[in-house]
Amino acid sequence: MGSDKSKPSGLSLTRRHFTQALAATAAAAAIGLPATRARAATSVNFVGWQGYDDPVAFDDFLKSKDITLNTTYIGNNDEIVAKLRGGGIGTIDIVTPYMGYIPLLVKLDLIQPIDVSRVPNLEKVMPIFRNDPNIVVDGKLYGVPFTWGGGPMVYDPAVFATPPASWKDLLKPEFTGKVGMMDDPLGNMMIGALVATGTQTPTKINAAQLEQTIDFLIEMKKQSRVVAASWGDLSDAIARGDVAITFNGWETMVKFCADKGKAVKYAYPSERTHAWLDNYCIAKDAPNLDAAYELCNRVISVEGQKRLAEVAIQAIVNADAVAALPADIRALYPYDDIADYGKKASFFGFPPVEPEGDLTTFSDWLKAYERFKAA
Amino acid sequence: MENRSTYWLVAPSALIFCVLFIAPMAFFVVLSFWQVEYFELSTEPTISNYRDVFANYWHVMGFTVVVATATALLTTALGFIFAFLARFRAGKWAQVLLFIVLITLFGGYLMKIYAWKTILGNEGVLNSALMAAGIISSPITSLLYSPQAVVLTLMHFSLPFAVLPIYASMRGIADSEVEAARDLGARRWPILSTVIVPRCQSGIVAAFSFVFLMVGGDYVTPLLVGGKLTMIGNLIAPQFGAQFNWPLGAAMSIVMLIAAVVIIYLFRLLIALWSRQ
Repeated sequence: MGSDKSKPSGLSLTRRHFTQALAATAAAAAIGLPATRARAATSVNFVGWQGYDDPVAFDDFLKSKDITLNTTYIGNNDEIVAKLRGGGIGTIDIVTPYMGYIPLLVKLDLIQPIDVSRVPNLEKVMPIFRNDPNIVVDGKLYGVPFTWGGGPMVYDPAVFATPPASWKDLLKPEFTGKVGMMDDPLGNMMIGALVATGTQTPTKINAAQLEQTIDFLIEMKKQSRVVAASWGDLSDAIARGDVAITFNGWETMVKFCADKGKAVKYAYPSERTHAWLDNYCIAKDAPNLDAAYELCNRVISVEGQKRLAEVAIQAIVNADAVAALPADIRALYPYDDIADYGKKASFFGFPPVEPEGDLTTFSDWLKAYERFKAA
Repeated sequence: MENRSTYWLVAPSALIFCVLFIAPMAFFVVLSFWQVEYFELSTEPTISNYRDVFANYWHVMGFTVVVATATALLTTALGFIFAFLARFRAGKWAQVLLFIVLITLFGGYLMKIYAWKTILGNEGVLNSALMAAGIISSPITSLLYSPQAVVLTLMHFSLPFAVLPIYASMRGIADSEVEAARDLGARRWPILSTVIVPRCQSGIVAAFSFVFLMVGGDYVTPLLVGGKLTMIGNLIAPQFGAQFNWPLGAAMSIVMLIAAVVIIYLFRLLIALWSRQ
């Protein structure tokens, strides 16, 4: 799958055609169409992560606006692309991609620009999130950022009083068998590229750098005891004492572990780490545009953001909502020095989807990650 | 006329079998010779997926076959012992033993996995008990996140699927057959190896096949108790999700299916040879 390889000739099926051919009926049902459409109220079709609908749906807001929400939950961001390309244009209103996917969604003409005048709460969103270059394409804002997080090193302070300064330190003998990894392809590879190649733009790397990255990840895997399937499982492993430190992590693991009776901390190693920013985006030809804007504005309101922070323990973007949080919830994330967050973690863009010079594509990344998985 | 009506009676199930099994399998075979470039599927025929499987994933395939074979052999042996006790030793308690086997199916797959995590972890039930008894001074870390944890968990899950077919075939063995062998001077082992095993070889092969196929395709257990172990299911599943490489996933599945057929055939041959002794 080299970058110079021409596309094979013959009948070429897109993911859309493929999905339609195999499961047209199921796909239509999956995106929650006629069967679930309400009759009287404005019925908004929402495709996103479970829980991301809660900040707009938890109280009487939807009722007051005469909106009903048809939710379809996703298991990964690719499903957003698949559902929009698989017949979702013209029926889906809101999708909640990670910021890295936004340029791709724009390129594929699947989402529309945000009219900022219709989302007044954007003014309260902290600049580091509102101005993230990933969500602005050709000078237009394409996403309403509402939650974020990073991939810090999470550790058990009872085992390691001070965390190592570098991700590389985890390869030292004293950490053998005590490291837990997460099966997070993009996150692992971004950290791996930062550490193994020294690049400052880990999603823009060539084939040799990609090899170095995977070699480093395989070394880390040998050093690890577990490659966890989910953040819950990784938290579980550290809470049970099966591992004591993680390669890649999530700030929210502090809460997950605390709920299991284990006090853990997190740190940002010197090479930095990746960060993510999830958004409400409005699909192209969204049939309920006014209602979609209501939801975009609501998800970054003080009420919606507090709900997200206090119930889902997610990091939030609205400065007023942050100020209103209880101290223990606020302490979970580095809100106090958020302006410097970029020195610890960065919202890296997405690897190229199609060949760009000698840069490796997202397909190359996925293929390369298989080598890590199989090792 | 009778034959024709028989065909009509079989037709609905044959149709369902063709639509739900034969057609998808045929599609999988065709799909395995297609390819994906930059998230677009092309029907231009290629053998690159198979080349990829043998070049890059043979060791994962081999590990999966080893784990599946070990689990199937151990589970079949354990299932045989359990079925034997229920059929020939338990008397009126046989139904109770079978009920216990059946009731374990209600536990749920994930619950069993998490139960073993709780038992085998560093601070788990087993390590805590051994440390409290003074037998060990620090936890045995190899209990969890290891091949043996995967085999143990899969054995627990698949044991009922081994017991039931073996017990069903043992019910076909009349007490008089065993008594006749005993009257002719056969002791315990000859009775077992020359009467009971040959008479329930179909049940034994069915048990082995069930377990082997379940384990060979499993990807949840290694993910949760295997630590960093990868079985072929862990590589196949993402091909149909985030990786969007259905042709490669199909090729992996076909190769694994062929491997499973070969292993099951060899096991069947082994049992048949045993029975002819």
